[in-house]
Amino acid sequence: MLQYLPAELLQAACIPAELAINHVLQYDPAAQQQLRPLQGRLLALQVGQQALFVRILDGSIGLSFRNDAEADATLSGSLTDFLALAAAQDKANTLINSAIDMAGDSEFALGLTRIAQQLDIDWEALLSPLTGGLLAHQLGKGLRGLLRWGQTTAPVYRTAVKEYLEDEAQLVTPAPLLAQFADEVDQLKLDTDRLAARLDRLQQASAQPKE
Amino acid sequence: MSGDKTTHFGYQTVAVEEKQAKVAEVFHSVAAKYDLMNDLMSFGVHRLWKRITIDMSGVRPGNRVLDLAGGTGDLTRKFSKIVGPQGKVILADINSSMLNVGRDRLTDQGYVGNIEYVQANAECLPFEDNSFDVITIAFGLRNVTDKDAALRSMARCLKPGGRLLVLEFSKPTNPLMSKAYDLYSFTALPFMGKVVTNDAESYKYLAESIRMHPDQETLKCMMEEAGLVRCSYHNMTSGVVALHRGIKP
Repeated sequence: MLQYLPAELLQAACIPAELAINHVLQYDPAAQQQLRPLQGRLLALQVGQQALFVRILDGSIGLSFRNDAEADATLSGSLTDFLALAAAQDKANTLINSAIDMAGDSEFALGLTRIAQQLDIDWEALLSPLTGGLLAHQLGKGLRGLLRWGQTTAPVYRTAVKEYLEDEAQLVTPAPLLAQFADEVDQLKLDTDRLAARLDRLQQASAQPKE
Repeated sequence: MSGDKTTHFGYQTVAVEEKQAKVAEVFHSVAAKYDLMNDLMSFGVHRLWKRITIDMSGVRPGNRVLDLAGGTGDLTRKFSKIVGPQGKVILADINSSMLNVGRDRLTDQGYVGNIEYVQANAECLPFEDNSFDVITIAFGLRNVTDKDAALRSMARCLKPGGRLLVLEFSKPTNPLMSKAYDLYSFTALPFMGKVVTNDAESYKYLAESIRMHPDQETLKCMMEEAGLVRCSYHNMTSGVVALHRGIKP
């Protein structure tokens, strides 16, 4: 559908995301350093009929919905696959094991996912123009702590919610029980198939004239 | 002047040898506030037109790019980031004032190492045959006196398989848009020129030169006559601007 929109509108739509990503990159010198050897290379993200191109520039990126240069690497998949990749903790591993197809220079594509994974924003540098150094230090410390807390407590909360839904409220069937039920259904289907085949054979045998 | 060759300078008819000097006068006058005026006149959309040009240029790391009539260096800046240290971008302009503004700005912003600056006439480019992967001329061709000679010169300098991209004002495809555009360019543009650069005449010339520039199909034929193949154009903003592309066989 996007191909029917004017090129200027599509190009304009890329600018806020591009600015936001480059703003974040500006505060992560390590990521900038890792991006520099990839300067000029092009990654295409093909979601259905629409492609989004990511051009690596000098420590920053450029986004566009159209690019006539041949992409160095192309990742094709559904929007759900890409969202799962964006949310994954181990992006490189998720990319390899996901339904996303990789074409071209896979090392380049994996390298970019590793950089995205390791993005470590210098919150203090980001906030200091707005708040001044002292407050930025405190806020940065707070944000770092909050992120660390989020990273460690997220799995705990995930487990707690899962246990509540499965065991306490019994709203969701636990995965092992569901798997066992599915196995039993499969076994039942196999048994009925076998029984049907046996009945068929007996029917054919009784229908044959006796010599 | 009878017997002398003439050409147009906006709506005026002038001797061929006069046009270059008159165009030079216009750009010497507007160079300092060229980008500000572009932003005001196009409401910033010229930046999107230029981004699309870069995306459709197919430029790659290590390429040699000629940004012709590159003026204040908008395209060169982005090309320089894409071609990287192994590539080269030549920013060429016939007008020394525009070139100086572009060179100072890019150098101040730290764009050095893979950019060269050349004062050159598009009709007789001072470059070897087959020496560029991509040549772009953005909002420059309509100011060239002999457009056919310029296109031939660009085709000569392209490597086989290289691309020429001409970004230029063109003919709006929508009649309503055309009327609004005429009204805007013959009233608002000279007024803005007067207020910002104290030079209404230069912007009157801009509006007139756009009307005198070949339309989409004519320019496409001119590119084919210059020896380029697979020529096509892409209208932007209802044909107010068109991006023409051609490939050297």
